[in-house]
Amino acid sequence: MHSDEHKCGARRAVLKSLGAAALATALGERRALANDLRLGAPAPPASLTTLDGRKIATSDLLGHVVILTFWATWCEPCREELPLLSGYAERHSPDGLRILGFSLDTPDKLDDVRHVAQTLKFPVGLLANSSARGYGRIWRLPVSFTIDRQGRLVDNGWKDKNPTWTADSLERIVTPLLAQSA
Amino acid sequence: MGYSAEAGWRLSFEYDYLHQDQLRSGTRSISSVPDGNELERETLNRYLTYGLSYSPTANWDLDLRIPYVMRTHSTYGDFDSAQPLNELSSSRSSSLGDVRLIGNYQGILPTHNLGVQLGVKLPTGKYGTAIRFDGGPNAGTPLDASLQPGTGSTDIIVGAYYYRAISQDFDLTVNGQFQSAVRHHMDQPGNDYRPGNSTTVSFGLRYEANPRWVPQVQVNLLHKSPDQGALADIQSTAGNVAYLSPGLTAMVLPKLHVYAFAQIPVYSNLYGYQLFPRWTASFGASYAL
Repeated sequence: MHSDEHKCGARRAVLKSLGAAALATALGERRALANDLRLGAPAPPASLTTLDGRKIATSDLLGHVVILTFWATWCEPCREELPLLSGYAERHSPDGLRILGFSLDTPDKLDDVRHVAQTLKFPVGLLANSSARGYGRIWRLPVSFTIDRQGRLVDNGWKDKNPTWTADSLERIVTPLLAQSA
Repeated sequence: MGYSAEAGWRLSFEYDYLHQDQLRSGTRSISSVPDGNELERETLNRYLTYGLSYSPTANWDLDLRIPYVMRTHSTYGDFDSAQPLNELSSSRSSSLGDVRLIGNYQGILPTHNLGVQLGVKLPTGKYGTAIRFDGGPNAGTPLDASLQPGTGSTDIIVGAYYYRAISQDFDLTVNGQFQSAVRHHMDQPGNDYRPGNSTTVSFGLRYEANPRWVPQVQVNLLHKSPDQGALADIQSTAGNVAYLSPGLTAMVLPKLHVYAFAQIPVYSNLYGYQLFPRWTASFGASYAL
Protein backbone atom coordinates (compact mmCIF):
# COMPACT_ATOMS: atom_id res chain seq x y z
CA MET A 1 0.00 0.00 0.00
CA HIS A 2 1.16 3.51 -0.64
CA SER A 3 1.40 6.09 2.06
CA ASP A 4 -0.54 9.29 1.35
CA GLU A 5 2.72 10.97 0.56
CA HIS A 6 3.42 8.56 -2.24
CA LYS A 7 -0.05 8.14 -3.51
CA CYS A 8 0.36 11.25 -5.62
CA GLY A 9 3.58 9.94 -7.08
CA ALA A 10 3.52 8.77 -10.62
CA ARG A 11 3.28 5.31 -12.04
CA ARG A 12 5.74 4.21 -14.57
CA ALA A 13 5.49 2.36 -17.80
CA VAL A 14 6.89 -1.10 -17.74
CA LEU A 15 9.57 -0.45 -20.31
CA LYS A 16 11.68 2.23 -18.78
CA SER A 17 14.79 0.14 -18.76
CA LEU A 18 14.41 -1.75 -22.00
CA GLY A 19 16.18 0.60 -24.38
CA ALA A 20 19.79 -0.26 -23.85
CA ALA A 21 19.28 -3.91 -23.05
CA ALA A 22 17.35 -4.65 -26.21
CA LEU A 23 20.09 -3.23 -28.37
CA ALA A 24 22.65 -5.51 -26.92
CA THR A 25 23.79 -7.13 -30.13
CA ALA A 26 24.11 -3.94 -32.10
CA LEU A 27 27.85 -3.99 -32.46
CA GLY A 28 28.94 -7.46 -33.36
CA GLU A 29 32.02 -8.28 -35.32
CA ARG A 30 32.05 -6.88 -38.87
CA ARG A 31 33.71 -8.85 -41.59
CA ALA A 32 33.70 -8.35 -45.35
CA LEU A 33 32.45 -6.65 -48.45
CA ALA A 34 29.67 -7.85 -50.69
CA ASN A 35 30.35 -10.81 -52.87
CA ASP A 36 30.46 -9.86 -56.54
CA LEU A 37 32.40 -12.74 -58.02
CA ARG A 38 32.13 -13.59 -61.74
CA LEU A 39 33.55 -16.70 -63.39
CA GLY A 40 35.95 -15.82 -66.23
CA ALA A 41 36.47 -12.31 -64.88
CA PRO A 42 39.72 -11.21 -63.24
CA ALA A 43 39.81 -12.68 -59.77
CA PRO A 44 39.69 -10.14 -56.94
CA PRO A 45 43.12 -9.53 -55.45
CA ALA A 46 44.04 -11.40 -52.31
CA SER A 47 47.12 -11.32 -50.16
CA LEU A 48 48.22 -13.89 -47.60
CA THR A 49 50.45 -12.91 -44.70
CA THR A 50 51.98 -16.21 -43.71
CA LEU A 51 52.63 -17.34 -40.16
CA ASP A 52 56.31 -16.47 -40.61
CA GLY A 53 55.47 -13.00 -41.87
CA ARG A 54 55.88 -13.37 -45.64
CA LYS A 55 53.38 -11.63 -47.88
CA ILE A 56 52.13 -13.53 -50.93
CA ALA A 57 49.79 -11.65 -53.26
CA THR A 58 47.78 -13.24 -56.05
CA SER A 59 49.11 -10.50 -58.33
CA ASP A 60 52.57 -12.00 -57.85
CA LEU A 61 51.34 -15.43 -58.93
CA LEU A 62 50.22 -14.69 -62.49
CA GLY A 63 51.25 -17.63 -64.64
CA HIS A 64 50.39 -20.05 -61.83
CA VAL A 65 47.17 -21.82 -61.03
CA VAL A 66 46.14 -20.58 -57.58
CA ILE A 67 43.74 -22.06 -55.04
CA LEU A 68 42.64 -19.83 -52.21
CA THR A 69 41.34 -22.05 -49.45
CA PHE A 70 39.66 -20.86 -46.26
CA TRP A 71 39.66 -23.10 -43.22
CA ALA A 72 39.80 -23.18 -39.41
CA THR A 73 41.18 -25.59 -36.84
CA TRP A 74 37.69 -26.12 -35.42
CA CYS A 75 36.18 -26.96 -38.82
CA GLU A 76 36.01 -30.74 -39.12
CA PRO A 77 35.43 -30.89 -42.92
CA CYS A 78 38.39 -28.55 -43.32
CA ARG A 79 40.63 -30.86 -41.31
CA GLU A 80 39.66 -33.72 -43.61
CA GLU A 81 40.22 -31.63 -46.72
CA LEU A 82 43.59 -30.12 -45.82
CA PRO A 83 45.70 -33.31 -46.09
CA LEU A 84 44.18 -33.96 -49.52
CA LEU A 85 45.03 -30.45 -50.67
CA SER A 86 48.49 -30.70 -49.18
CA GLY A 87 49.26 -33.90 -51.07
CA TYR A 88 47.90 -32.42 -54.28
CA ALA A 89 50.02 -29.29 -53.78
CA GLU A 90 53.13 -31.36 -53.26
CA ARG A 91 52.54 -33.36 -56.44
CA HIS A 92 51.62 -30.41 -58.65
CA SER A 93 53.83 -27.62 -57.40
CA PRO A 94 56.27 -28.29 -60.26
CA ASP A 95 53.34 -27.86 -62.66
CA GLY A 96 52.74 -24.33 -61.42
CA LEU A 97 50.17 -24.89 -58.66
CA ARG A 98 50.13 -22.55 -55.67
CA ILE A 99 47.74 -22.91 -52.75
CA LEU A 100 47.24 -20.17 -50.17
CA GLY A 101 45.59 -21.20 -46.90
CA PHE A 102 43.64 -18.55 -45.01
CA SER A 103 42.78 -19.60 -41.47
CA LEU A 104 39.76 -18.02 -39.80
CA ASP A 105 41.08 -18.82 -36.36
CA THR A 106 41.52 -15.95 -33.95
CA PRO A 107 45.05 -14.91 -32.90
CA ASP A 108 44.69 -16.67 -29.54
CA LYS A 109 44.56 -19.96 -31.47
CA LEU A 110 47.83 -19.31 -33.26
CA ASP A 111 49.58 -22.28 -31.69
CA ASP A 112 46.84 -24.60 -32.96
CA VAL A 113 47.10 -23.08 -36.42
CA ARG A 114 50.89 -23.53 -36.42
CA HIS A 115 50.44 -27.15 -35.39
CA VAL A 116 48.21 -27.81 -38.40
CA ALA A 117 50.31 -25.68 -40.74
CA GLN A 118 53.40 -27.76 -40.00
CA THR A 119 51.72 -30.71 -41.66
CA LEU A 120 50.85 -28.81 -44.86
CA LYS A 121 52.84 -28.31 -48.05
CA PHE A 122 51.45 -24.88 -48.76
CA PRO A 123 51.71 -21.54 -46.93
CA VAL A 124 49.17 -20.64 -44.27
CA GLY A 125 48.24 -17.41 -42.50
CA LEU A 126 45.46 -15.89 -40.48
CA LEU A 127 42.74 -14.20 -42.50
CA ALA A 128 42.71 -11.48 -39.82
CA ASN A 129 46.25 -10.51 -40.86
CA SER A 130 45.66 -11.02 -44.60
CA SER A 131 43.39 -9.56 -47.24
CA ALA A 132 40.73 -11.29 -49.34
CA ARG A 133 37.86 -8.85 -49.08
CA GLY A 134 36.68 -9.23 -52.66
CA TYR A 135 35.60 -12.79 -51.99
CA GLY A 136 32.79 -11.70 -49.70
CA ARG A 137 32.54 -12.47 -46.05
CA ILE A 138 33.56 -16.03 -45.29
CA TRP A 139 30.30 -17.10 -43.74
CA ARG A 140 30.75 -20.87 -43.98
CA LEU A 141 33.68 -23.28 -44.13
CA PRO A 142 35.40 -24.76 -45.96
CA VAL A 143 35.33 -22.66 -49.07
CA SER A 144 37.87 -22.32 -51.88
CA PHE A 145 38.36 -20.26 -55.02
CA THR A 146 40.45 -21.28 -58.03
CA ILE A 147 42.30 -18.83 -60.30
CA ASP A 148 43.80 -19.78 -63.66
CA ARG A 149 47.20 -18.83 -65.01
CA GLN A 150 45.74 -15.66 -66.55
CA GLY A 151 44.41 -14.49 -63.19
CA ARG A 152 40.79 -15.29 -63.98
CA LEU A 153 38.39 -16.81 -61.51
CA VAL A 154 37.46 -20.29 -62.75
CA ASP A 155 35.84 -21.83 -59.68
CA ASN A 156 33.67 -19.97 -57.17
CA GLY A 157 33.38 -21.86 -53.91
CA TRP A 158 30.20 -20.08 -52.94
CA LYS A 159 28.46 -21.81 -55.86
CA ASP A 160 29.70 -25.30 -55.01
CA LYS A 161 27.02 -27.62 -53.72
CA ASN A 162 29.79 -29.77 -52.22
CA PRO A 163 32.32 -27.20 -51.05
CA THR A 164 34.87 -29.67 -49.67
CA TRP A 165 37.60 -30.65 -52.14
CA THR A 166 37.76 -34.29 -53.14
CA ALA A 167 40.31 -36.13 -55.26
CA ASP A 168 37.71 -36.21 -57.99
CA SER A 169 36.93 -32.49 -57.89
CA LEU A 170 40.62 -31.60 -57.89
CA GLU A 171 41.18 -33.78 -60.96
CA ARG A 172 38.13 -32.40 -62.67
CA ILE A 173 38.64 -28.70 -61.94
CA VAL A 174 42.30 -28.03 -61.23
CA THR A 175 44.30 -30.62 -63.17
CA PRO A 176 43.04 -29.42 -66.59
CA LEU A 177 44.13 -25.89 -65.68
CA LEU A 178 47.61 -27.12 -64.87
CA ALA A 179 47.81 -28.72 -68.29
CA GLN A 180 47.27 -25.37 -69.94
CA SER A 181 50.24 -23.17 -70.68
CA ALA A 182 50.49 -19.66 -69.26
CA MET B 1 27.43 -4.53 -25.06
CA GLY B 2 28.84 -5.06 -28.45
CA TYR B 3 29.97 -8.61 -28.65
CA SER B 4 33.23 -8.01 -30.44
CA ALA B 5 35.65 -10.90 -30.59
CA GLU B 6 38.60 -8.53 -30.66
CA ALA B 7 40.73 -8.07 -27.55
CA GLY B 8 41.30 -4.62 -26.12
CA TRP B 9 39.52 -1.60 -24.69
CA ARG B 10 36.39 0.00 -26.08
CA LEU B 11 34.67 3.27 -25.23
CA SER B 12 31.00 3.82 -25.95
CA PHE B 13 28.33 6.43 -25.63
CA GLU B 14 24.57 6.06 -26.03
CA TYR B 15 21.61 8.40 -25.94
CA ASP B 16 18.15 6.91 -25.36
CA TYR B 17 14.91 8.81 -25.81
CA LEU B 18 11.69 7.40 -24.37
CA HIS B 19 8.61 9.61 -24.20
CA GLN B 20 5.70 8.02 -22.36
CA ASP B 21 2.67 10.03 -23.35
CA GLN B 22 0.06 7.36 -24.06
CA LEU B 23 -2.10 6.01 -21.25
CA ARG B 24 -2.74 2.29 -21.64
CA SER B 25 -4.32 -0.56 -19.71
CA GLY B 26 -4.26 -4.19 -20.74
CA THR B 27 -3.87 -4.26 -24.48
CA ARG B 28 -5.72 -0.99 -25.13
CA SER B 29 -5.16 2.72 -25.16
CA ILE B 30 -7.38 4.55 -22.66
CA SER B 31 -8.37 8.18 -22.22
CA SER B 32 -8.94 8.14 -18.48
CA VAL B 33 -8.74 5.96 -15.39
CA PRO B 34 -11.41 4.79 -12.93
CA ASP B 35 -12.10 7.06 -9.96
CA GLY B 36 -9.54 6.75 -7.19
CA ASN B 37 -6.67 5.92 -9.54
CA GLU B 38 -3.90 8.28 -10.48
CA LEU B 39 -4.23 10.03 -13.84
CA GLU B 40 -0.78 10.65 -15.24
CA ARG B 41 -0.04 12.96 -18.13
CA GLU B 42 3.46 12.15 -19.38
CA THR B 43 6.99 11.07 -18.54
CA LEU B 44 9.94 12.00 -20.71
CA ASN B 45 13.04 9.88 -20.13
CA ARG B 46 16.39 10.64 -21.67
CA TYR B 47 19.44 8.57 -20.81
CA LEU B 48 23.07 9.35 -21.53
CA THR B 49 25.06 6.20 -20.98
CA TYR B 50 28.82 6.10 -20.97
CA GLY B 51 30.46 2.74 -21.44
CA LEU B 52 33.88 1.23 -21.00
CA SER B 53 34.61 -2.37 -21.88
CA TYR B 54 37.73 -4.46 -21.77
CA SER B 55 38.37 -7.76 -23.52
CA PRO B 56 41.58 -9.42 -22.32
CA THR B 57 41.08 -12.15 -24.91
CA ALA B 58 38.49 -13.01 -27.53
CA ASN B 59 36.78 -15.18 -24.89
CA TRP B 60 36.13 -12.58 -22.20
CA ASP B 61 34.66 -9.13 -22.02
CA LEU B 62 33.91 -6.90 -19.04
CA ASP B 63 31.49 -4.08 -19.68
CA LEU B 64 30.82 -1.07 -17.44
CA ARG B 65 27.79 1.17 -18.13
CA ILE B 66 27.28 4.48 -16.35
CA PRO B 67 23.91 6.12 -17.06
CA TYR B 68 22.94 9.71 -16.49
CA VAL B 69 19.16 9.97 -16.19
CA MET B 70 17.20 13.06 -17.26
CA ARG B 71 13.51 12.78 -16.52
CA THR B 72 10.48 15.03 -16.46
CA HIS B 73 7.13 13.85 -15.24
CA SER B 74 3.67 15.29 -14.77
CA THR B 75 0.47 13.96 -13.23
CA TYR B 76 -3.04 15.12 -12.35
CA GLY B 77 -2.99 13.02 -9.19
CA ASP B 78 -5.95 10.96 -8.09
CA PHE B 79 -8.83 11.08 -10.55
CA ASP B 80 -12.38 11.84 -9.48
CA SER B 81 -14.92 12.09 -12.29
CA ALA B 82 -17.24 14.15 -10.08
CA GLN B 83 -14.61 16.87 -9.63
CA PRO B 84 -12.75 19.17 -12.00
CA LEU B 85 -9.39 17.82 -13.12
CA ASN B 86 -6.64 18.65 -10.62
CA GLU B 87 -3.89 21.06 -11.49
CA LEU B 88 -0.79 19.34 -12.91
CA SER B 89 2.02 18.41 -10.57
CA SER B 90 5.41 18.13 -12.23
CA SER B 91 8.99 17.17 -11.56
CA ARG B 92 12.28 17.53 -13.37
CA SER B 93 15.45 15.69 -12.41
CA SER B 94 18.90 14.95 -13.82
CA SER B 95 21.34 12.73 -12.02
CA LEU B 96 23.47 9.63 -12.05
CA GLY B 97 21.51 6.40 -12.46
CA ASP B 98 22.36 2.85 -11.52
CA VAL B 99 25.68 1.57 -12.82
CA ARG B 100 25.88 -1.84 -14.48
CA LEU B 101 28.87 -4.13 -14.67
CA ILE B 102 28.48 -7.19 -16.88
CA GLY B 103 30.94 -9.94 -17.71
CA ASN B 104 30.56 -11.80 -21.00
CA TYR B 105 32.13 -15.17 -21.72
CA GLN B 106 32.12 -16.24 -25.35
CA GLY B 107 34.69 -19.00 -25.34
CA ILE B 108 32.14 -21.80 -25.49
CA LEU B 109 32.46 -22.08 -29.27
CA PRO B 110 35.67 -21.43 -31.22
CA THR B 111 33.71 -19.03 -33.37
CA HIS B 112 32.94 -16.87 -30.29
CA ASN B 113 29.35 -16.42 -31.39
CA LEU B 114 27.72 -17.98 -28.33
CA GLY B 115 28.09 -16.13 -25.07
CA VAL B 116 26.82 -16.09 -21.52
CA GLN B 117 26.54 -13.07 -19.27
CA LEU B 118 26.72 -12.49 -15.55
CA GLY B 119 26.49 -9.03 -14.13
CA VAL B 120 25.33 -6.73 -11.44
CA LYS B 121 23.38 -3.48 -11.29
CA LEU B 122 24.52 -1.34 -8.40
CA PRO B 123 22.44 1.15 -6.35
CA THR B 124 24.45 4.20 -7.41
CA GLY B 125 21.48 6.40 -8.38
CA LYS B 126 19.27 8.40 -6.05
CA TYR B 127 16.37 6.25 -4.89
CA GLY B 128 13.39 5.99 -2.61
CA THR B 129 12.11 9.48 -1.90
CA ALA B 130 15.13 11.51 -3.07
CA ILE B 131 13.45 13.23 -6.03
CA ARG B 132 10.32 15.25 -5.27
CA PHE B 133 7.71 17.10 -7.26
CA ASP B 134 8.83 20.66 -7.85
CA GLY B 135 5.63 22.18 -9.23
CA GLY B 136 1.87 22.01 -8.73
CA PRO B 137 -0.20 20.94 -5.74
CA ASN B 138 2.13 18.01 -4.96
CA ALA B 139 5.30 20.12 -4.86
CA GLY B 140 7.60 18.81 -2.18
CA THR B 141 6.16 15.31 -2.10
CA PRO B 142 8.31 12.45 -3.44
CA LEU B 143 7.88 10.79 -6.78
CA ASP B 144 7.11 7.10 -6.91
CA ALA B 145 10.14 4.97 -6.09
CA SER B 146 10.01 3.60 -9.63
CA LEU B 147 10.49 7.09 -11.09
CA GLN B 148 13.61 7.87 -9.09
CA PRO B 149 16.92 7.75 -11.02
CA GLY B 150 17.90 4.57 -9.17
CA THR B 151 16.08 1.69 -7.56
CA GLY B 152 18.19 1.41 -4.41
CA SER B 153 18.63 -2.26 -5.18
CA THR B 154 21.52 -4.47 -6.14
CA ASP B 155 20.36 -6.61 -9.04
CA ILE B 156 21.88 -9.71 -10.53
CA ILE B 157 21.84 -9.97 -14.31
CA VAL B 158 22.19 -13.22 -16.24
CA GLY B 159 21.93 -13.60 -19.97
CA ALA B 160 23.02 -15.36 -23.12
CA TYR B 161 23.45 -14.44 -26.76
CA TYR B 162 24.03 -16.19 -30.04
CA TYR B 163 24.48 -15.08 -33.59
CA ARG B 164 25.43 -16.84 -36.79
CA ALA B 165 25.59 -16.27 -40.49
CA ILE B 166 22.68 -17.88 -42.26
CA SER B 167 23.67 -16.74 -45.76
CA GLN B 168 26.28 -14.64 -47.52
CA ASP B 169 24.52 -11.45 -46.45
CA PHE B 170 22.42 -12.22 -43.37
CA ASP B 171 23.14 -12.96 -39.72
CA LEU B 172 20.62 -14.29 -37.25
CA THR B 173 20.88 -12.90 -33.72
CA VAL B 174 19.22 -14.08 -30.51
CA ASN B 175 19.74 -12.89 -26.98
CA GLY B 176 18.01 -13.05 -23.62
CA GLN B 177 18.56 -11.43 -20.26
CA PHE B 178 17.05 -11.77 -16.81
CA GLN B 179 17.41 -9.20 -14.02
CA SER B 180 16.38 -9.58 -10.43
CA ALA B 181 17.00 -7.53 -7.27
CA VAL B 182 18.87 -9.55 -4.67
CA ARG B 183 19.44 -6.76 -2.10
CA HIS B 184 17.67 -3.48 -1.52
CA HIS B 185 18.35 -0.52 0.73
CA MET B 186 14.70 0.17 1.36
CA ASP B 187 13.88 -2.90 3.40
CA GLN B 188 12.13 -1.55 6.50
CA PRO B 189 8.46 -2.36 7.11
CA GLY B 190 6.37 0.44 5.64
CA ASN B 191 9.38 1.88 3.88
CA ASP B 192 10.44 -0.86 1.54
CA TYR B 193 10.75 -1.09 -2.23
CA ARG B 194 11.97 -3.79 -4.55
CA PRO B 195 11.83 -3.43 -8.35
CA GLY B 196 10.12 -6.26 -10.20
CA ASN B 197 12.11 -8.86 -12.10
CA SER B 198 12.47 -8.32 -15.81
CA THR B 199 13.12 -10.74 -18.65
CA THR B 200 14.00 -9.66 -22.18
CA VAL B 201 14.30 -11.87 -25.23
CA SER B 202 15.31 -10.49 -28.62
CA PHE B 203 15.81 -12.04 -32.04
CA GLY B 204 16.54 -10.46 -35.36
CA LEU B 205 18.33 -10.33 -38.67
CA ARG B 206 21.36 -8.27 -39.67
CA TYR B 207 22.14 -7.51 -43.30
CA GLU B 208 25.91 -7.86 -43.64
CA ALA B 209 26.47 -7.27 -47.35
CA ASN B 210 28.49 -4.16 -46.64
CA PRO B 211 30.35 -3.89 -43.35
CA ARG B 212 30.21 -0.12 -43.53
CA TRP B 213 26.41 -0.09 -43.37
CA VAL B 214 24.67 -2.85 -41.46
CA PRO B 215 20.89 -2.53 -41.22
CA GLN B 216 19.06 -4.82 -38.87
CA VAL B 217 15.58 -5.54 -37.69
CA GLN B 218 14.87 -7.10 -34.33
CA VAL B 219 11.90 -8.19 -32.25
CA ASN B 220 12.27 -7.36 -28.57
CA LEU B 221 10.06 -9.12 -26.04
CA LEU B 222 9.84 -7.98 -22.44
CA HIS B 223 8.15 -9.42 -19.40
CA LYS B 224 8.23 -7.42 -16.19
CA SER B 225 6.89 -8.51 -12.82
CA PRO B 226 5.28 -5.97 -10.48
CA ASP B 227 7.39 -3.90 -8.14
CA GLN B 228 7.05 -4.90 -4.51
CA GLY B 229 6.98 -3.15 -1.14
CA ALA B 230 5.13 -0.36 0.61
CA LEU B 231 6.59 2.28 -1.71
CA ALA B 232 5.85 0.30 -4.85
CA ASP B 233 2.99 0.77 -7.24
CA ILE B 234 2.21 -2.91 -7.32
CA GLN B 235 -0.83 -2.52 -9.53
CA SER B 236 0.74 -0.63 -12.43
CA THR B 237 4.32 -1.74 -12.93
CA ALA B 238 4.00 -5.09 -14.64
CA GLY B 239 3.28 -6.25 -18.16
CA ASN B 240 4.32 -7.93 -21.37
CA VAL B 241 5.47 -5.99 -24.40
CA ALA B 242 6.71 -6.73 -27.92
CA TYR B 243 8.65 -4.18 -29.92
CA LEU B 244 9.71 -4.15 -33.54
CA SER B 245 13.13 -2.53 -33.69
CA PRO B 246 14.74 -1.41 -36.95
CA GLY B 247 18.24 -0.02 -36.78
CA LEU B 248 21.44 0.77 -38.58
CA THR B 249 25.10 0.48 -37.60
CA ALA B 250 27.70 2.38 -39.61
CA MET B 251 31.46 2.08 -39.57
CA VAL B 252 32.63 5.66 -39.98
CA LEU B 253 36.26 4.83 -39.19
CA PRO B 254 37.92 1.42 -38.90
CA LYS B 255 37.66 1.64 -35.10
CA LEU B 256 34.57 3.80 -34.79
CA HIS B 257 31.01 2.57 -35.20
CA VAL B 258 27.89 4.67 -34.80
CA TYR B 259 24.36 3.32 -34.61
CA ALA B 260 20.74 4.34 -34.43
CA PHE B 261 17.74 2.23 -33.48
CA ALA B 262 14.05 2.76 -33.01
CA GLN B 263 11.58 0.64 -31.11
CA ILE B 264 7.96 0.56 -32.14
CA PRO B 265 5.55 -1.28 -29.85
CA VAL B 266 3.53 -3.86 -31.74
CA TYR B 267 1.89 -5.48 -28.71
CA SER B 268 1.50 -4.58 -25.07
CA ASN B 269 -0.46 -6.06 -22.21
CA LEU B 270 0.03 -3.80 -19.22
CA TYR B 271 -1.25 -4.30 -15.70
CA GLY B 272 -3.11 -1.36 -14.18
CA TYR B 273 -2.84 2.02 -15.88
CA GLN B 274 0.51 2.93 -17.33
CA LEU B 275 2.05 5.64 -19.45
CA PHE B 276 3.53 4.05 -22.50
CA PRO B 277 5.75 5.28 -25.37
CA ARG B 278 4.56 5.31 -28.98
CA TRP B 279 8.15 4.78 -30.05
CA THR B 280 11.63 5.02 -28.60
CA ALA B 281 14.97 5.93 -30.16
CA SER B 282 18.60 5.24 -29.36
CA PHE B 283 21.77 6.68 -30.84
CA GLY B 284 25.27 5.64 -29.96
CA ALA B 285 28.90 5.34 -30.83
CA SER B 286 31.56 2.80 -29.98
CA TYR B 287 35.30 3.31 -30.36
CA ALA B 288 37.96 0.61 -30.08
CA LEU B 289 41.07 2.02 -28.38
